[in-house]
Amino acid sequence: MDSLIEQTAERIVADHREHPRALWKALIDNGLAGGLTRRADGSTDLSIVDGFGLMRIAAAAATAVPFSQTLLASWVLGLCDTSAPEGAGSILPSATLRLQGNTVDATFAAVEFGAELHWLACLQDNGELLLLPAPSSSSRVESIHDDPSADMIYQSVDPLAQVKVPPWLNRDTLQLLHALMRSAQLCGAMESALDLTVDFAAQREQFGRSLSKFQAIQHMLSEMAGEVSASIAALDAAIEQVGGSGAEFLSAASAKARASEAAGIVGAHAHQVHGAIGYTQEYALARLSRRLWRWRDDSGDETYWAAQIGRSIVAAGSPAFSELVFGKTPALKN
Amino acid sequence: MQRFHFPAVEASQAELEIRARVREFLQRERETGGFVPRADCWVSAPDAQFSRKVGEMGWLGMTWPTQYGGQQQSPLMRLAVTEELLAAGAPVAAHWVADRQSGPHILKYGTEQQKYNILPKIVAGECFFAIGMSEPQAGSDLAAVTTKAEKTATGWRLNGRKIWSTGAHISSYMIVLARTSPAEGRNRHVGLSQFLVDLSLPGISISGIEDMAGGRHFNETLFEDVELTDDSLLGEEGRGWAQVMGELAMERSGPERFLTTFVLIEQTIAAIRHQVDFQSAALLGRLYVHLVSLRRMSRGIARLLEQGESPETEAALVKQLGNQFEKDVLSHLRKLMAALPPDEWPNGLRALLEAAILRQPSATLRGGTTEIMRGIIARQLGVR
Repeated sequence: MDSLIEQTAERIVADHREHPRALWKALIDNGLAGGLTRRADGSTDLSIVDGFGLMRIAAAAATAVPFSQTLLASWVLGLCDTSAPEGAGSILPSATLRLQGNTVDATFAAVEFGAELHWLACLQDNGELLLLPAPSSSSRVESIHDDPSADMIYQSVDPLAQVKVPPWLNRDTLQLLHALMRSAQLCGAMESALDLTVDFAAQREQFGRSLSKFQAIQHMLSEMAGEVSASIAALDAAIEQVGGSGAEFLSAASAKARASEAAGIVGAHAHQVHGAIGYTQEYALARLSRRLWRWRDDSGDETYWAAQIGRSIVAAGSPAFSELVFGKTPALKN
Repeated sequence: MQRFHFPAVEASQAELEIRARVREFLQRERETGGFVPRADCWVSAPDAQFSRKVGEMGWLGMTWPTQYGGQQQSPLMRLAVTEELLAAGAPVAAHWVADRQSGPHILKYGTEQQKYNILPKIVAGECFFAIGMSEPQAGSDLAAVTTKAEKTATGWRLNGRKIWSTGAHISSYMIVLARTSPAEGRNRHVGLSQFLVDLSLPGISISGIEDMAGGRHFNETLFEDVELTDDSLLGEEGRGWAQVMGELAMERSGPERFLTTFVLIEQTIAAIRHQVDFQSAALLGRLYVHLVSLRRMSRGIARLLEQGESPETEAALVKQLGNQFEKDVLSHLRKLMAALPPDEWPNGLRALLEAAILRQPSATLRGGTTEIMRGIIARQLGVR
């Protein structure tokens, strides 16, 4: 991603991480939250590569704002030649709505940041996208999680727009994009958990020396580094394939499967190295590990995506396996 | 955090073309009985004739300068060739060490004469190398080597014993790590040097050690008062430790750390394709996911090498993950094949799987154990 954007984002999340309201304002004011909103000429200020990079940075700081959701939803709307409204928004990957009459009466259950969204997009059963304003009312869902969910209740609400979608856009492709968003977030949170654990191991002393001098600890940290590196490699590969028709199935599914698997190992090792302090509400690790364990299952866990991939491999037939791995080679002119 | 860096590398047209050429070559070789695909082929399947053919195709020493017979190709082109050879299970063991590490090592540290004498022969597939690092009492603790080279009027006198040298019995040379002056107190990394040893010299005896899979690639090599000429020294006297670490980085960074079992995956898919349930699909998919992320990292390493960097830690990461992957491959494939009644396995697949299982223990040992890799990674993380 662009290094200036990266630095700006890192500074903003570091400055405001404890204050979601101030953070959100800074993300808006600096043009990051609206960075993937389509402008009149069809362009966006940021690229989708920057967008996924921002999701990773925000997750690394364990920020509790609907930033990633807004970026993804704005970008998808842009691909439908529609500019996202101002403020925080989200696009629902799985809900489909049947519109009866001109107004909307519906409840969307347990939407992440549902009480804070200014707009919401969801698919209709006719395949079009419906763009809705903030709900008539919302009610918070009791949960242990850091990013609050709410039921969004719409009563006789006029939609903002009904949007025709490009042929590629459907529930499956939306789910894949959500999975890729989660992959980026997982990578950010895992990097942060690794950093925190490395620092803790260096500073915490037991038996008269720092934990990091123990080989058993070093090996856990090395294994975490391997998992994080492999997840980032899979994420980068998937992001490169993202374009005007969404994400590419194999690479995006691989990214989510790899990161979801890694999240289990990284979370477990981070807690094991930290000992009891890591298990407290106060210490910074828990807000990362709670998200790791939620995000790894959200939008399809590692087994779900691995099975999808496995089925497509089998469908392609065995001679095609090496092509799937190494790429398709051209016919030779001798 | 960006502690580990694996740059993105797009596949160039030239790369895809050379892949196609290698595939065509391999297809022809398979059809004319040139080889039968083997797992772990880069260790267990030496074939001097095949290596010469690979040399004739111009696929050895590809990245080296033209004056030494190379083609100055990018490491990514070489990677494409090695991936294809490994994926096909081709018998590449004879030339593997020379092409992967000994040649590049000579290129980096050798004298002009050493380069002109040796590199073109490696390129032609006529000169093979063995690794002279481990000793009976120096395995993971490489700095404990006791093989000694003493200065003489005409050069050096070598005494000692090297072990686990794959292919020494068919090799022309071994690069030997030896002590040339004593350790300084607890600092054992000083006083080590590397030598380019012609294995046909008097005083050298090579004896084979059979591995647990029945393979005969290991050797123990005994050096008894072997007289080496002055120009046998490789690189700088006393700098052997730093040099050998560079050599190990080349040894660890390649795709052989995760493609050794590729032949098996392909054959298993063909065998079970009509009996794939959810669990099998998930196992197969998991293998794919791990394979492509490892490949991505491995390509990043090739790019770093191209840029003249020495990605020692990145190589350790790929080896650590790759070794684990190959263990997973075998356990997953056993589960996948369980969908077939035992008497319906295709010909040869069980033998291939059994051989791979028997070779598996060496994967997490050779080139540095998983535990050594983890130590290297931990050092990079700043905790050692």
